[in-house]
Amino acid sequence: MNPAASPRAPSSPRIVLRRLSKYFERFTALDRLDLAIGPGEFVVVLGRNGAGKTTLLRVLALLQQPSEGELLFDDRPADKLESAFRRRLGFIGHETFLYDELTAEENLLFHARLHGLARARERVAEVLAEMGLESRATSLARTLSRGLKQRLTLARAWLHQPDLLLLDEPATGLDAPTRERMHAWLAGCHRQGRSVILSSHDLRESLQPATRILLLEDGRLVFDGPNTPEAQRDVQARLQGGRA
Amino acid sequence: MSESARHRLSLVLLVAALLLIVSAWYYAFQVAPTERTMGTIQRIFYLHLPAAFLSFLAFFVVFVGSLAYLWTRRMGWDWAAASAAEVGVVFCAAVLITGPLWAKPVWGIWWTWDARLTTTLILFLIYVAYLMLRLYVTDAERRARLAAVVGILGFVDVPLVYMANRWWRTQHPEPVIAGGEGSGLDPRMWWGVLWAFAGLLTFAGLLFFQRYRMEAMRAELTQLARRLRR
Amino acid sequence: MTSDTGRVTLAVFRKDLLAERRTKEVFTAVLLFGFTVSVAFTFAFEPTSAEARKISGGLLWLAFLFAAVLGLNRAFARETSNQSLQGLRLIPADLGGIYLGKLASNLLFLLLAEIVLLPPFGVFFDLTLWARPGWLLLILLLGTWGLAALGTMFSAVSANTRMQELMLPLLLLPLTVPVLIAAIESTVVLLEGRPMSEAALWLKLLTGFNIVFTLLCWLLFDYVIQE
Repeated sequence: MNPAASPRAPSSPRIVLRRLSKYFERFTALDRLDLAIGPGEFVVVLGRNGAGKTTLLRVLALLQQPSEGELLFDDRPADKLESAFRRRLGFIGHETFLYDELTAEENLLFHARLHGLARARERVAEVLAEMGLESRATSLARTLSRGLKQRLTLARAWLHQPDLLLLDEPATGLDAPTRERMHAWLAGCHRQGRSVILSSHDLRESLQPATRILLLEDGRLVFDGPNTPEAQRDVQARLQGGRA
Repeated sequence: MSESARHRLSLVLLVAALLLIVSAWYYAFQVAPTERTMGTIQRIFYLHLPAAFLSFLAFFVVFVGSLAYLWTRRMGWDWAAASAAEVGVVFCAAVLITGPLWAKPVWGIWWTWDARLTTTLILFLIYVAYLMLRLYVTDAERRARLAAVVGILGFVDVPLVYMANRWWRTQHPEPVIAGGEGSGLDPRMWWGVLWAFAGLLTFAGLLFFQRYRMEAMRAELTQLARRLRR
Repeated sequence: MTSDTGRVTLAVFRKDLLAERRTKEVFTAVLLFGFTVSVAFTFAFEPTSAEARKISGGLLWLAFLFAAVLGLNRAFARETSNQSLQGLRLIPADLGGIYLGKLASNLLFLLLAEIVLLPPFGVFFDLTLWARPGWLLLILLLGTWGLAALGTMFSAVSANTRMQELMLPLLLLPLTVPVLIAAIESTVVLLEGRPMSEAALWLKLLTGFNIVFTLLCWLLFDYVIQE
């Protein structure tokens, strides 16, 4: 599957994090992160469970407010952004954000309407086709398999053709062929000029399209570099080593 | 404010409160004249009225603190709201206990469903719910946010509760009506009220101050524990 | 109110309607529980006595209140099962519309259940409910709106606490006292056949309450669903 080209050229934002921390009472999820992600990058965030990947992605998706530090999109502070800015973001988290009692089509139509998309019905049909879900359009979300649910979630995030895609462990629970298709699709998005930031705790996945690798450990950024075989080896070693 | 300055302030407030309350007590029982119809039990009024006013003042502080927190996101306002709510609930309870103690000997019934007493009861329930909400949210930021919303809604509700009860009262008058406590008071009684009010206000200030410090220390502890775990 | 808010409100309302048409959970829960409570009341108060008829206005609204708590919790549970509500925070619009949409759908479901509950209640307590149906519906609408306005808000608040659904009645009951008093008094005026002008004050109070709190909750909703 390949992402259909959008009518306007994507303009992915430049993201800057300055000494950004997020605390949950006594637990530090993100510890003074300094990071700059340019437009049009494909970033993979790696780290063990509890390293802070989910928190980082949620903060970037504006779902979570940082406790300290700054987050800037195109040099504008995140907390001063108007709500319309969220049109440029697409987020997939651990939860599906779906309504079990609605069909795939109805779920998407709901989100399309919320986004104020023109020609909502046609757009929903387009995206269902793009994700290979036409045959299950009228199935209740509850009845879909894990893989299909993930595709539907991806469809939901893709409806408004965001410039920045944020995906939190999107490959969990998917079989290899589905994972391949998803990565190929994300690569297509990246080629169109969008930014993709996805997280994973496992390096076994194909990371070909990724331009950059980040490694988080206990909320701190311990590795930040371009996606080369050496980098992958180093990160792999770090991920597996150091286990008590 | 430095540690020693804080201690000194607490001490000053405590001593002042004790002096004022003891002297107000003396005034209420020895100096103030006995009420014509109600007798000695009426002296409980010197506690009842100031306590009612103070509880209302405390809930106003909760309201202001809640608004200020949502506006500025500074935790100090949340601590103020939490402290004020606890102080308010204590004084509210004092009103609800002294009310029946006064009503029974005078009017023969434990409770009079007059507008003021009923509103105080509902006020009590609202702020107990507020405190329970605070108790059952673990994350400090979320707790502050949710409590602030409830604090605002609760306070706006109070005049509506009073109005509803007032009109209900006029439709269902009780055989006895709790007469206007402030109507036609002997000037010597007014002194008693003011004196008692000063004492209780100082005491309330002390409680508030101590509670506020507790919240500040709790936040400091969380921050230290966080730094240690890094 | 921007067009954004209107769009969001409408979308949320339609979605809730669709979900409810399919599952009928909220309506059924409110109806069944309201019915059970009404039956319980007939045991507590000799239903055919003159006294019971006098307090039937109050009993009706108590039944509505308890059933509403159940329904409101159930309605909000739909938004938390897949964290769907958090998903709504991604939309490029003012989130207050979500509150208004849910308020509208909750109001509709509660009203429908209450209307169905009226005939059996009337039978139990031997009441003539339908003498002035317009006024009856108005009282139902205003009273339920008050319950739903704060109830929708507080169901979102309680979902964020460790006590979850148990927090809702704790918050709702004290704060909706004005609604209860006003609704009960208006209903009693209606049932006793007195001129509705006697209930004018109560209906005005209800309207004022509803406007004030709907506005306030709309403004404050953002703060409740933030993380």
